[in-house]
Amino acid sequence: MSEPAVDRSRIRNFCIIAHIDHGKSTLADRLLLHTGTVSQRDFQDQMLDDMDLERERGITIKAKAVTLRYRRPDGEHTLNLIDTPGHVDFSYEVSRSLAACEGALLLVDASQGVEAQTIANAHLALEAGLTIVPVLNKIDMAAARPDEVIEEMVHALAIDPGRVHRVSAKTGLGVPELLDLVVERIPPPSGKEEAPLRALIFDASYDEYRGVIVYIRVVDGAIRPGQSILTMGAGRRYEVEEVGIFNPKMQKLPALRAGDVGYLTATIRNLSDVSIGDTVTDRSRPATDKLPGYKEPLPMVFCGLYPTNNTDFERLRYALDKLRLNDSSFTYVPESSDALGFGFRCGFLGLLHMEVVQERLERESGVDIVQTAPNVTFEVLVRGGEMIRIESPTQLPDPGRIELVCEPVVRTTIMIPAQYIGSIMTLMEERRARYMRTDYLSQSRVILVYEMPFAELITDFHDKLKSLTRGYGTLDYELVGYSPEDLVKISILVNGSPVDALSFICHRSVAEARGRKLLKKLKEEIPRHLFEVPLQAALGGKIIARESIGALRKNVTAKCYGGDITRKRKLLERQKEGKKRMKSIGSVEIPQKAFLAVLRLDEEK
Amino acid sequence: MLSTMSPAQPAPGLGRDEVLGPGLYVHVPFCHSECTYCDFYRVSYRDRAADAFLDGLSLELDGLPRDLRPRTVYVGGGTPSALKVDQLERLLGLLEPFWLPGQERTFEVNPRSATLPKIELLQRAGVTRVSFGAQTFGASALRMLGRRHGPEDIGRVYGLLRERIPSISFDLIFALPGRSLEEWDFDLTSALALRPDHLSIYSLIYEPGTPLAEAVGRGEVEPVPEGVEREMLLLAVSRATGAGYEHYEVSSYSLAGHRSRHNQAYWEQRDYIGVGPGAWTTLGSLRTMNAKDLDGYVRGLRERGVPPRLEERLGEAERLNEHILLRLRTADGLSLRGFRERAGRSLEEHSGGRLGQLVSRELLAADGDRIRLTLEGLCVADRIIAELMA
Ligand SMILES: Nc1nc2c(ncn2[C@@H]2O[C@H](COP(=O)(O)OP(=O)(O)OP(=O)(O)O)[C@@H](O)[C@H]2O)c(=O)[nH]1
Ligand code: SF4
Ligand SMILES: [Mg+2]
Repeated sequence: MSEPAVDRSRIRNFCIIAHIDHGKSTLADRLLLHTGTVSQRDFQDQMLDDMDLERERGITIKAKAVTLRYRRPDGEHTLNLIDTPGHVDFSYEVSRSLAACEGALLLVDASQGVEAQTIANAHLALEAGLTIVPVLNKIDMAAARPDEVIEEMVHALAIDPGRVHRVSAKTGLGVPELLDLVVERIPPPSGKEEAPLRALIFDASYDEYRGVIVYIRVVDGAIRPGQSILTMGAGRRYEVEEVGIFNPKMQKLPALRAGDVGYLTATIRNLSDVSIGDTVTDRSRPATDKLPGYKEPLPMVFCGLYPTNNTDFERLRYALDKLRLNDSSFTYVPESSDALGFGFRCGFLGLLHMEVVQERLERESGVDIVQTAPNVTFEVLVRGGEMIRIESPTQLPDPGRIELVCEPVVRTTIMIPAQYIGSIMTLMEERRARYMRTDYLSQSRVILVYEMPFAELITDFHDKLKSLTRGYGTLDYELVGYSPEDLVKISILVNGSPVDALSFICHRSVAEARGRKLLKKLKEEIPRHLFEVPLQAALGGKIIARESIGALRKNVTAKCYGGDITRKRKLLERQKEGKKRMKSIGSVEIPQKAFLAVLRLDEEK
Repeated sequence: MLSTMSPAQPAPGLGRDEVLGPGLYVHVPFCHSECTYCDFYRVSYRDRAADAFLDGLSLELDGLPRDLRPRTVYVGGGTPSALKVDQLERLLGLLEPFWLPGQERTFEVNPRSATLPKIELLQRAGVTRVSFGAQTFGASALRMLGRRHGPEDIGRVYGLLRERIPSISFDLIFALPGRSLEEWDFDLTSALALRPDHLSIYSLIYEPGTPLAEAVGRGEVEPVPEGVEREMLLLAVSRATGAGYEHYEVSSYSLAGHRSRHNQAYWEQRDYIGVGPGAWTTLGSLRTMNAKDLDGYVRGLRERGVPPRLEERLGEAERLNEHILLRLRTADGLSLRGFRERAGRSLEEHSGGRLGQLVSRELLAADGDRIRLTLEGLCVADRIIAELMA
């Protein structure tokens, strides 16, 4: 074909990685503006964070690719940039982005210093063989302590202090030079344009009109509209309809070639046909080997998602299918609950991930969802020697069949200013954590390493850590294995009948206290009814705690004359609407919040 | 108990409701008091403002259909008796064209501002009924409510009214902060001793934005516990019905032949026309409210012949919800057959099976075609109504 091809040596593929809030998206803004990719008029802060949820929470949730054209004296360069999220729950987004790049800007906030995900993400980039360009950001801030932070970078990551580039993503200081460093330090892509097509699918989204939009990094060969392609893993065939780049909006191109990052559409309607990490090749000239793809992340936190309205089950399934395309790091399998009907057991990488998925589902599909309290996975050794994995308290076999219950243990790395060591150590003791070691990052900052039950980490540990360290504490964790513990299942009975969705597994030593606390929380969350609602917690058939929600005694307003009728009707209609959003179990209406009460047992009243 | 009450009795001497039109409500938005719990539309009484209001009212009344034959007239507020004698006289003059023989004509009066000359005026104009805002016999409770009368005014003014007005309704409020069940019993005893023809017994409501609600928010005032409030309600029911009053609506009690025909029309979803700022009108599915803005009201009428209004269209769903709401609050109850005719489905279906549950919990009683609140149901009527709404 005749379209002018960009010289492959003038392409750079890189991502921006950092701890949360260190300024990745703001730096991406500067790069978009400085290269003229976006005009001042169309610009807005954290431009690439275009999802409502991202803007509301001020964090990046999805990695986002964009192509910049950068002119320098030696010619125009094409820079494919991927902005990544910093939160630990979204590190799968980072891994996927890395596979589409040759280099990474490792950003460190000059006032916060090196934090947990700085190290974790730097290691991911190194393992993926990327060239790292260390960047110190926010040097405009009064609280910046550049020299100290560079020392931390040297200490924690063995970075050459002379190669750290200083910028302010806010003011733009140092940004033009940074673009030159990208060109000079990061190698161009090495793929062969003449070789058979190989493109890595690193992400996807769904568009009602065009079907699935597949995000690709072309490694070898080229891809054009009209071309017949094959996905090597799934074995599906399509004809390419359109290819292009993100600019940051989608921009059609005649072709994408080795080294390019962009998208393709091919009227793909079946959501499950596309799998992230798969390789796209040419049907008439297929490549022999698939690209390495990604290691599927292992979900760590599970919860049930149920439609509030039982008839919405299929809509919820469709919403999950669609979202899964855009976030391949959560899992879902149908399950049913006596209390909640038909729904899904879903696995997530962490609590924030869980929250985000639930909110996206509700917003993007309009289905009201009831979410059960999250739990970790357990490994259960049953009589006869078989080891089973359970993802929900209801799956726990009869006590008589259980030999052993093991819970996941994570190695937790906590980075804090040194003055908080004492309070954090106390917190860790309360959480059944085992001390491993202390490392000094600098004189004033330490890394504490512990092994602890993952279950302890998901019950509001992060908030505690933040509040005990005035927001300065950060953490990272990884699974180290399963360890046998004396774990028991607590069942909850509402109005005499067990509500499986409220049951939970915990250590025997705290079972009674937790049961009692949960009932207290439930009493706060469940509104009063026209009748008394008894609440009970049971351990293996024995009631270990009880509470009762008293019946409504008086609820009648006095006046109802001409001017009161509209207001009064609306008031009662709203009450009624509120109830429709609750889950009706037996004759008791239980609000969504009640199902999550078990998470907040440590909160003081 | 509501469900044990007798069906509606026709008011003596009146059998011609059919030929008469909607009820007429007149809102007089002035008060001398600033009651701490009040969320009615009202402003402090000022002489000039009251004159301007009457100018506006005169224009608004002129705009009503010539052949309007209101079956009842109700003058409320605010405090109609806050008007000066000559203003009250002018108001009565404005209403005179709407007077019809046998009509129920109610005025709200208050123990402080109802002087003998004003009462005589009402008497001469043929006012058949007054609603007397006594509220409580507790001196400190009256002060807390921001009322300007004392307990001693109640008996005195009641006496003046008794001799001149055929039917007297007496307002009482219970669940007043700091007032015990025994003190409430005293209020009831004192009120019953006067033997008014009608009682309106309200529980205190903390309307958002009122000074009293804000005092509760700041922790300065402690509402009566729900359990005590319930006891107070039950006491009111048993004392009033024990004294021979018919409990014909959640907060209304009457001696034979003294039901409020005007209010009953609201509960029967009949049309009504309201004049004055803040007054509501409902004609079929159109409901309007004159803006709560005295100046705007007067200006609008002077300049365009109509006051500024808000409008609401009632859909069939809203009308049905109101039907449930209003009917269930009355002793006459809700007719299942009537409901099915309106809704095209049974109430059991409409409520998703909740009707049956409420009956089996004895919160509602089914008596042939009629559904009524039981005494137990009366205490939680709002929740029950919400349950039945679609
Ligand atoms: N003063 C100053 N503030 C900055 C600078 N860069 C970013 N910020 C601010 O830091 C906050 C976080 O910036 P983001 O760009 O959203 O950070 P991020 O790394 O993309 O965050 P995540 O994507 O959620 O991990 C914002 O309030 C920015 O305005 C800087 O150079 N100087
Ligand atoms: S007298 Fe009536 S309208 Fe006036 S302030 Fe008191 S409660 Fe409100
Ligand atoms: Mg970001």
